[in-house]
Amino acid sequence: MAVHHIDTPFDLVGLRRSLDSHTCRFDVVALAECASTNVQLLEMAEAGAPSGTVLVAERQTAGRGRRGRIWHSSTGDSLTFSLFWRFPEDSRAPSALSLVVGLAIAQALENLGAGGIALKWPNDLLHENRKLAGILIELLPGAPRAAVIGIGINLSVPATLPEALSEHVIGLDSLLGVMSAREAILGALLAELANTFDIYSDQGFAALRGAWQRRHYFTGRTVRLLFDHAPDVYGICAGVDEDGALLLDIEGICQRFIGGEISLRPA
Amino acid sequence: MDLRKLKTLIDLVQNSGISELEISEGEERIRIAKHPAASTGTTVMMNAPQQAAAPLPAIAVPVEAAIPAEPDGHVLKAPMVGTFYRSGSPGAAAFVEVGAVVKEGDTLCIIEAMKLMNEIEADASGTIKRILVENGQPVEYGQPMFVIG
Repeated sequence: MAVHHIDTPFDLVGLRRSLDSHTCRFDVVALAECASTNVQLLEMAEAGAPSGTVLVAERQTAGRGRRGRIWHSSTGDSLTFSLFWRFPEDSRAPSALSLVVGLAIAQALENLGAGGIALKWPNDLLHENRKLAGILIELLPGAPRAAVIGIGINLSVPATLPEALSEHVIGLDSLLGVMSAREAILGALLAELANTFDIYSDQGFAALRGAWQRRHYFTGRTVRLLFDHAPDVYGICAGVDEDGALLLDIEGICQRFIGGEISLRPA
Repeated sequence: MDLRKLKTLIDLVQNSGISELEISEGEERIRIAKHPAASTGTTVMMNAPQQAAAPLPAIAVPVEAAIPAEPDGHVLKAPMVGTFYRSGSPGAAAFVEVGAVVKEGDTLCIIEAMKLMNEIEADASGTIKRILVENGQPVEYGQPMFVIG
């Protein structure tokens, strides 16, 4: 693992220890502050950074969510990083990649001892319908099997967060008896991502679909699917297809969706 | 609506980047849709509300195909299934408009599927002649999105 320690108290020796046998698969760059780890890592990847490059920032000043939404992060309250990964040309990537990443993170946090983690299609992590982590994946332009994967984990919920927001989020600290060091969390996440990507590259999402569906919060529930440019859709969640598409039972007919924001149907 | 006005509207849609146009005028409603993928021509549907005394039947007026057999430029097709976005975020300026001069590698749109964002770059240099998909609409694999001339 090549490490670049730039003005940050991030303990890279501790990270190396937690990465264990996966150390050689990652190049970690740690920054005190970064506008957006995804934007910067996309630039690094286009300039030739190798697969396995990780950019972790203490603070993101312009963190990005989906379609220009803001990802809020402040020192200590969240772990935000981006990972660049090139999948083999003969793999099925990027089909269902966003689900694969969510599953890997859920499994890594479970291995650390966090219980009750659920997935929200396509790639959010929840605990009792409160958001624990978010993911934003951007493909390298012109290279559909090379992806920059941005991950944000709530480590704790800031006391200053307004109640209207804080009731929808949860921190990892409340799911772990003893909070792990963030280097140990990052190491566990990267190791599990590498393991899961190996299975995905060899066998596709089909080999991970069962594990994903077991954790899906909405399966069997009546849900609403919201769209930016189309009317809402209601149906009973019937799981996901082999390519990760959401399956909804709408009046007895099973339909596939690859877009939209899922939520419980309001009572 | 008289036929001359209808013809004008068809020409307007035909010669623009719009794929669908809907206009309500009093009791009348008209929808003109281009179907570039099927290349079967422009379909015009005209409906009058049910309470109208003499409802107009839906009519179809075939005109020349939206994309001629030999398009007037290079066609950029969707490399994946997803939702087509013309800008990086809602409210932001579109990456390109019809008439823009682009060079190979310029970002033209984003396709999103399951929160996976794919910035699509121009694979040829030239002028954007047509934009064949509306913002926020789904695209199929291989569906023409831009004509670069």
